[in-house]
Amino acid sequence: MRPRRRDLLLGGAASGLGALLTGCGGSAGGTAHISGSIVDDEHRAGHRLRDGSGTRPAGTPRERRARVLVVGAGASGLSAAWRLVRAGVEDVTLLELADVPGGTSRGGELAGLAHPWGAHYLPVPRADQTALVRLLDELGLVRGIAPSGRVRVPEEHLVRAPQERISYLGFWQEGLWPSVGASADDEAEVARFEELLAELATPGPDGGRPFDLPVARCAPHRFELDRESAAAWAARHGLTGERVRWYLEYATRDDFGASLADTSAWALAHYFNARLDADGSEADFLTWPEGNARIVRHLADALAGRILCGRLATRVTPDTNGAEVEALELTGGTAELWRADRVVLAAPQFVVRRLLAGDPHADARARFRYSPWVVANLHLAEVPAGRGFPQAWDNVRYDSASLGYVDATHQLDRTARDAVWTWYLPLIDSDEAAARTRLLAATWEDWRDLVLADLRPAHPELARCVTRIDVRRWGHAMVKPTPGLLWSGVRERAAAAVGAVHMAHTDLSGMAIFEEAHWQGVRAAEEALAALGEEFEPWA
Amino acid sequence: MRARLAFLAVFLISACGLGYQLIAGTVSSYLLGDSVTQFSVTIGLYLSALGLGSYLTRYLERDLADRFIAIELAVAVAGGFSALALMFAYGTEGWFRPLLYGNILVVGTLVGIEIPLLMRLLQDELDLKELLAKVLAWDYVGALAVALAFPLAMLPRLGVARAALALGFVNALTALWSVSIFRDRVRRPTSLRLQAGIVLALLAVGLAQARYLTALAEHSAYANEIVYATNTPYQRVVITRGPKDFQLFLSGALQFNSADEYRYHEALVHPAFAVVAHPRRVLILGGGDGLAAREALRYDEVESVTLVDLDPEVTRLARELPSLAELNRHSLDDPRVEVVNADAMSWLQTDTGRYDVVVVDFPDPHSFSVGKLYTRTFYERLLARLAPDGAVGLQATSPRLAPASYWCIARTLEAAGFSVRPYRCGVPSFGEWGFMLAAPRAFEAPTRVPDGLAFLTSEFLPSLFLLPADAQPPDEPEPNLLSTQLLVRIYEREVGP
Repeated sequence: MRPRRRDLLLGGAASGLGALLTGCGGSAGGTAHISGSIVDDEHRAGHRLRDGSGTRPAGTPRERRARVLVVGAGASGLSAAWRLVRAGVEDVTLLELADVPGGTSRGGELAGLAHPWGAHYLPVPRADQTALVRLLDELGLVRGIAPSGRVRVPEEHLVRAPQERISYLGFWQEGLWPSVGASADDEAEVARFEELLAELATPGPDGGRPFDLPVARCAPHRFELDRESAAAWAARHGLTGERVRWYLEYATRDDFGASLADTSAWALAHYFNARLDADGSEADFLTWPEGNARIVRHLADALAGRILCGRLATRVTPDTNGAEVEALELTGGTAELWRADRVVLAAPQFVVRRLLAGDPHADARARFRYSPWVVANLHLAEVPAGRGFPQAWDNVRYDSASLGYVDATHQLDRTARDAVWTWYLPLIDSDEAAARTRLLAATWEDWRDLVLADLRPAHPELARCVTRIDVRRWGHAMVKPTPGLLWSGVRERAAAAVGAVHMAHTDLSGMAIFEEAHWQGVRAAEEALAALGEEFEPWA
Repeated sequence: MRARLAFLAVFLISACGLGYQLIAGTVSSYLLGDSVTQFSVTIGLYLSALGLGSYLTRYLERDLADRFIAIELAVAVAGGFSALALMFAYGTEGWFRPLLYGNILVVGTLVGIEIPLLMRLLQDELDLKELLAKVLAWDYVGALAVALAFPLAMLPRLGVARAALALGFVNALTALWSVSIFRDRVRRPTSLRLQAGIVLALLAVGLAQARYLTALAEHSAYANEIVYATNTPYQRVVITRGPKDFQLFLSGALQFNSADEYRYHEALVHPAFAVVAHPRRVLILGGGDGLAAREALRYDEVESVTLVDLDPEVTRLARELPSLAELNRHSLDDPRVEVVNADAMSWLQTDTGRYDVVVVDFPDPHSFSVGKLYTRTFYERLLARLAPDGAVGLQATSPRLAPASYWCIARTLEAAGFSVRPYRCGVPSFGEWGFMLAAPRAFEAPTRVPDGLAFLTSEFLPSLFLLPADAQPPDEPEPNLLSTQLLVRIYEREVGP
């Protein structure tokens, strides 16, 4: 009660010392007590499509039918199917390569604690993001509309404070900008950057917002920024200091898995401006221990019985009566021939290129580049001590190739002391193929050592506290908004329906975020609804 | 003449020897509880060790004076540093009891050797009848002297750590002085004087640094002597003792002082009872010390008290630490009380009970983990468990020291749907202290409290709800949300370093 505190906000001497004294279970320097594995293997099935090996088994394929067939049960495919079912189209089937739906929004569990394997938060949408608001309403998350124009959500699902901290030279400070140790020039540069952002965010002559969600809604008066890389734009505005460049590239790595040089300046400005409200405040983030797996699980539940996992689509052929889809049931090795009135191809463009027969936009799809990512989930018997600002939801390390870790237990009220941390590493190399080769070559032990070495400067005691590290590799985790991809007509051509085949994927927006995946799915579904002659109220 | 001086030495040796045992009994009672057992074990062990020491003297033949003095110096070291050693040992797992009993045995055995040795040194000067009568008489007089001086003067003035060091100092001086008394019998006087000098110097350093050393055993300076300290998974629990009172600290923050906690707990609990017609089901969140429960149990109408406190160690102390259990009148052992050790935030979400009176007694919002218990979400969950005609009494920081924090709590309760009446009272250990009375409906300020309280009377009660000019709300307080933890930042700004 009586304020007799010293520096509790700065990580309390008492708690810090207490943790130091109790320590964790493992041996001082060793890693032998840490178990774990690499948990992905979808790339093997996927590469059968790339290499054309074993995709055409002998024998007559089993003929099957759906009114609408959705290829891919990631966020966009699930959203498309959800939209169709909500419009009364019941005869919908989804084919998914992996064993579980969800794509990069899937989650997992470690020592009984839920955690994400990829996407892990959703900014609170504005009320005019109709489809998304309807989805959140189904999840019981909508409590009205706030004066900012965003929906009001139950506070317990918003990221709890403290939200972010950054470790600089082993010391944690609040926020993502490392102000401790920053020079006056650094501070001037970041202030200059914020001024430039505010200038870019001013509405166009017709009052349209230049940076908005969905991307398709953006007013055109800043499109010229898309021709330039973020690196060139920053250099042109004198944002050349090491620290401000780290700050900017942290943003492009975090949201796009891309370097500054491989990101369009428009995409960088979008990252910072798209979720700002008129009063300058930024949208709060919805999150759950399992990340966006909470949302895709709801979608999958709503589509119960319609999702077929372990299916590799090998060919999509539009014709005058609809479309045919050849697929392979992976466990039994049997071929399936699907006939559908409409097909929603909810796959990334590098997959569409291989699937779609007679593709008129293959050249556009070839423009899409994807960053590989590694996600590791660490189970800790006890959270190790750190110096400085206390444990936050997002814990970033300055000057690291990784993005740091998100505490999957941050939103939980519990008395147990163990935790799961989700560690993210985007491989931002411009030569993505080489990065993917490295990704597949590294062993679990390599990843374990990399994770521990990456976090050691911030948590010297970490290795002793970790009991397990599971690793998932994503060969094509995120589309890169490379200069020219967003506003040169490439996306529009890739998104155009080919006969009875409608395209739905987040990469068609040039960035991998849930809002875009959902919007693209709903948009493709509504195209299909229109083609089927169904009556519906447009949500996209 | 020599014999008379030697009798004085017997007096001092005896007094110091028993003094160490009183210290051992006091420290172990503080730290382990159950003072009857601790003192019984201490005295029993000490007496038997005295016997063992006496028996061992039959093996001593030569250099009796040198051995007597060396043993006296050993007592000075073993006894003088006993209290400090016990305090350090308490922080470690499993070392406290072996050290405690080992120390009693060592000091007892050494003192047990000394008295027969002294008698043998004096046997040439007095006949047996005279010798026995005088040595034993001075021995028991010494015991009486320290038995009176320890509780009346030494403990209150010096505290256990310095009391032990002071006794050690007396032992070492006695040793030094004995070299002179028995100068014709001592074979190595210079060496013994040097040893005594070293022991005296060590004890002097100990005396001068006793506070620092106690602080070292702790790592923060408390105003009073630490008599109990432990790390739980959630916090550091420390109990300190002053001359007339004792205090509980959680993670360095004072929770109560036994001298004036009644003011705080009466003010926290009774106003909420006063606005509820039938206070049958009571919920206490926090308050693991059992003091709020003590106040709630004054009402015969109370059928059940559910107490939810995170830390099992605190509720265990409230039951088992004699001084605390006496203070809370064994409230946690009352059949109407159910103790739950859980996180209040998650417990509220799963609990299905309805409560007429809720008492919220958490530490101040000094960290994000405590700050969540002051958020709108928390109060919404609390509201859902409250009977429509129920009421909540909350501790709400100090409106004097932390006015913005105080009003942020009021605003947050309102945002969660409560009607709120802020109030405050003076608690000398805390200063001006603040509370909130909250209910899910508009309500009148309370006018009656039960008779027989130590602080509150029905006449005085309305004055609690009058707020002075320096405790008025800031212009636009904002509610505390889980997503902002605004209050933790405000509180940090107001009371931080």
